[in-house]
Amino acid sequence: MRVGIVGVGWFGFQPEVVDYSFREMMFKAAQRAYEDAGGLDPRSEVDAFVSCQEDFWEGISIADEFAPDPVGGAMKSVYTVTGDGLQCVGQAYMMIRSGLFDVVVVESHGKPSDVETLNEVIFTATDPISLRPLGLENVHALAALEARAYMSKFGVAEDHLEAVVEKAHKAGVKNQRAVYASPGKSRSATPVVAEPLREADVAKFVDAAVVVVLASERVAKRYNDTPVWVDGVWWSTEFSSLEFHDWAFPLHAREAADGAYTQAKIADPYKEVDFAEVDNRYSFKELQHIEALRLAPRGTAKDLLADGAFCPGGRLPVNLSGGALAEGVPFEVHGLARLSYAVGVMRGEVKAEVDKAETAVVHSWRGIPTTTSVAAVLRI
Amino acid sequence: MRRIKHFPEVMEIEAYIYTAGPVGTKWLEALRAGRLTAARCPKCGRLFMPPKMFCPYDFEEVKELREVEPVGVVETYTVVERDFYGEPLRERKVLAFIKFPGVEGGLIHYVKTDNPQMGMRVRPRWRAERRGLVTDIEYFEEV
Repeated sequence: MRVGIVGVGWFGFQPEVVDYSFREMMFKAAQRAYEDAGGLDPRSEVDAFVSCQEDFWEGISIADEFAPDPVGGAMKSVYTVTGDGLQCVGQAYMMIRSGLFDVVVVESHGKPSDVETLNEVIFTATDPISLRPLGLENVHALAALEARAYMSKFGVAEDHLEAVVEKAHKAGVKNQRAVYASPGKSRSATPVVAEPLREADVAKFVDAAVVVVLASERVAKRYNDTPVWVDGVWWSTEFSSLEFHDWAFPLHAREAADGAYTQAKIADPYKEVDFAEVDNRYSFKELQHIEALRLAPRGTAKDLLADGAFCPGGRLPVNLSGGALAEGVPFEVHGLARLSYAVGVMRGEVKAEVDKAETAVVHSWRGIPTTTSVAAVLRI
Repeated sequence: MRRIKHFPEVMEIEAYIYTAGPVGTKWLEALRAGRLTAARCPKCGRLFMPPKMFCPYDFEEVKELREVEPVGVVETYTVVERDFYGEPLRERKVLAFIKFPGVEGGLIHYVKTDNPQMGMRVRPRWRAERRGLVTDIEYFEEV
């Protein structure tokens, strides 16, 4: 039984959505997703809802209780996952594959602009015994530790980061929701934040909500003539203390990708994947994730990027959307942002420079200080 | 007139007690005594830091801590110049991940140096008054 994406809706992707609360953002994104799914009625046609969120992002303890009604799920079967939106797609995939559910709605929302002490809230995610007493003034420093470890081990230079930043902004300017895209942005002209990272290497935050409707193969065509199939979705977390994770390479992304490829029966991703949307919330992460997803051997993404392989129109375009560097990071919505953009490209709704758009891999990482990645293989 | 659009609130998270656990407590007590220790897994024999009462590699229960020679190696580092909100720090800070020979894991901590290098050997600078926190090490300094 295949699992298909039959509706996608998004709202926001603005630095600050002033007039709508997170609940109304969920509502607007859901309205659009249900319309996209042929006018589906969530009150009568949806078997279950899955919402990805995190209490501290909301400033609400037990934020799960706020999940049902903004997406039409009150008094229905609602599940909440404290993780990236793509992990919700994983839940929906399993539920539909079990044969117990035919239509499952996945939702994620993030309103970083509501969080006035974002550094401190993110830092609260680190180990309270071994790290918190240090009181980091900039949590991006943890990413900088990974950046240096990776760059040193694989000979990545700052010029290579410049190329990632340039590509993201150039691609993003063609993406209608990439509010931070700024073609011609010069990385070297931005200040150093935490060596080797400059301001331009670090994605900004953005307010957004995305809702996705998934359906079993049995009923998918009722809602959409051209479902995009989820043929694999997998996720992985390393250790709960950063001290034990691999600083130079994201093994969590490698594990997630390998799981998804196995499900989708992909043996050689570089040859079989047409394009990819991966996490690039830090410029060096795009190179790491390309390698973790086996779209380039370890340490070679920088060279293939320089050859144009991952650029729009290249051999295997990566982040035609510009990714998080151009769109921003909407907390746990990030994976669904990558997925919804890929669906738009595969359906032909988004005019993107890609030769073939039949098989895509989408990936999300939950950002520092996590070691969690999710990957999904999509086919049309 | 300003429109009423939102409700400002302060999250009540300022007071919270994190339990260190039986092995974590011993580790913090050792720090207070000016000693660096690592947990030893009785199954795989690995030493690891920061310690928990379970081995992260094979799920074995851990009861023993062993003293570690307090000389570490900088595996990776960053020089932090700005805070999260983009404001320059009054003083640049070197943050590093420090490994100890023969020990899995390590410590993320500050290093006091004008010339940070990967592979540089460092040792803890202990505070005179210690409270049983990782910050009983004020910073690491070059050996």
